[in-house]
Amino acid sequence: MPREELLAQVFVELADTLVADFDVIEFLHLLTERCVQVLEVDAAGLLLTDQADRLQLVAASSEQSRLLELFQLEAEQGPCLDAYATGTLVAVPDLAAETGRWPRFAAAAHERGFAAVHALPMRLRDQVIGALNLFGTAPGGLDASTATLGQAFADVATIGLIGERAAREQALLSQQLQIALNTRVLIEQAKGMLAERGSGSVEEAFAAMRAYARNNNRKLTDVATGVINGDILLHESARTRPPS
Amino acid sequence: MATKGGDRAARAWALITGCAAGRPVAAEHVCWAAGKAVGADGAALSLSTGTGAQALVFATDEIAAGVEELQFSLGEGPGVDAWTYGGASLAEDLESADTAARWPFFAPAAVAAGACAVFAFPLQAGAIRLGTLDLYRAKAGLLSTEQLADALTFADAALEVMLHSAHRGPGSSEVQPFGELGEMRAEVYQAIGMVAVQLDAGLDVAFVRLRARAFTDGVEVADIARRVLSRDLRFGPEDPAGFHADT
Repeated sequence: MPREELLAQVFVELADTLVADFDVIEFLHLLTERCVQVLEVDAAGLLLTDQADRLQLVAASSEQSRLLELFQLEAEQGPCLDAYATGTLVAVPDLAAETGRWPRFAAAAHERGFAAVHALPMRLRDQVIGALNLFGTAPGGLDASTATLGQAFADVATIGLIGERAAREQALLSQQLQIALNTRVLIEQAKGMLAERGSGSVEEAFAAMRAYARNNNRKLTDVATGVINGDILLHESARTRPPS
Repeated sequence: MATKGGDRAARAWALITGCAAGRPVAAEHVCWAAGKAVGADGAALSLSTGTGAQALVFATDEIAAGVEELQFSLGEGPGVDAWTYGGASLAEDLESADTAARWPFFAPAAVAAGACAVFAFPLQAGAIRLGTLDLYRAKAGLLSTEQLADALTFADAALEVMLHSAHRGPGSSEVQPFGELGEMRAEVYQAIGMVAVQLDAGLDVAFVRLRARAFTDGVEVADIARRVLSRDLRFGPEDPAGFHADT
């Protein structure tokens, strides 16, 4: 599919999600998946400030644990932290050349097969609330139009996350950030419970919850809450079904 | 590896233990320390009773207690919002038109009781939700970015202290120093979910057990979590500290 067509489709999909009574984690997860498709990168992840010195992962294009670990490491050192601190795009077309700058991150990214990374700030007025990270398995920079599109994705994530009112009111912004990160924590807890009940992996547990939410027109957060309360028991068949 | 966040947690813990002055750390010490660090005139900690109602655990003074009482009886206010939505609720000026519209009964009553600003923070970690830490100021005024960061850190400390006192396991009568067990990361929360199922207990109990085990072993909680996730370590009700799976 040509990029214009794909982009139009993604725009409609994201807008649909935003106008509905949407689930913030599902929205951000979808956005990172679409980043991978549209921007032709291999992985994408969003990290947000917890307003107490740390960045925390809120959504990623894949729930693979090895990838989540890499994003978590980015909260300590790497392009993401720099994009957050400076509020500007940090482009690293060849990670191998940056081992001196971010030794632990460069080694971990290399170990996971990534050779290039770009971090785009999530800006709001004079603040930066997080960053969108794009990973590539081959070295290479983003061309100007892809970088612009990437920044648009970061901006859509920002406004989708905090909503129109919170964009104007600092107090609501604080609340929305905390709600989003706590929701992510709740989903992690549900992943663990489901994995233990079904003897599967946490990745499979996430896929099962997401498939259940979609098939039953429920919010991902509500499904995770249901899993934790024991109200929703996902069957083995649902767990092995690939994510749609 | 020391992070900036770890430093903030360590500073918070030092203030809390300073307030405790050798006694076991409790809600009152968190309230006193938080109020001081955040530049508030007082603080209160309320917990949910399970029936949806909240009950005051400790307040540093009459005004802080009054703010809680008003919220319980009126059913509105920053603490009610923080609890309901699961995020900080910050009211820096209760005499402003905005807050009066948001909490028409609470706002004027709180001002009359002596609190012109109230900042409320949920005690929570995912599905674990205990209550709120509410700070007040006699005069209106915004929390600075640093004060907000500190307040969030004290709310996390309050969660740990309250969870620990509710579910202390054998051999861990003291609250483990907050912030010294490393970061609470995705794998830690996943492991908490797994351990809750293994123990057939709540996430709150699993949270305490996992951290107690890290404390006993002298490792970071993330190390214990990784062993749980790789199914190298299981927790059982008969062996609360966890034992090796015989694989």
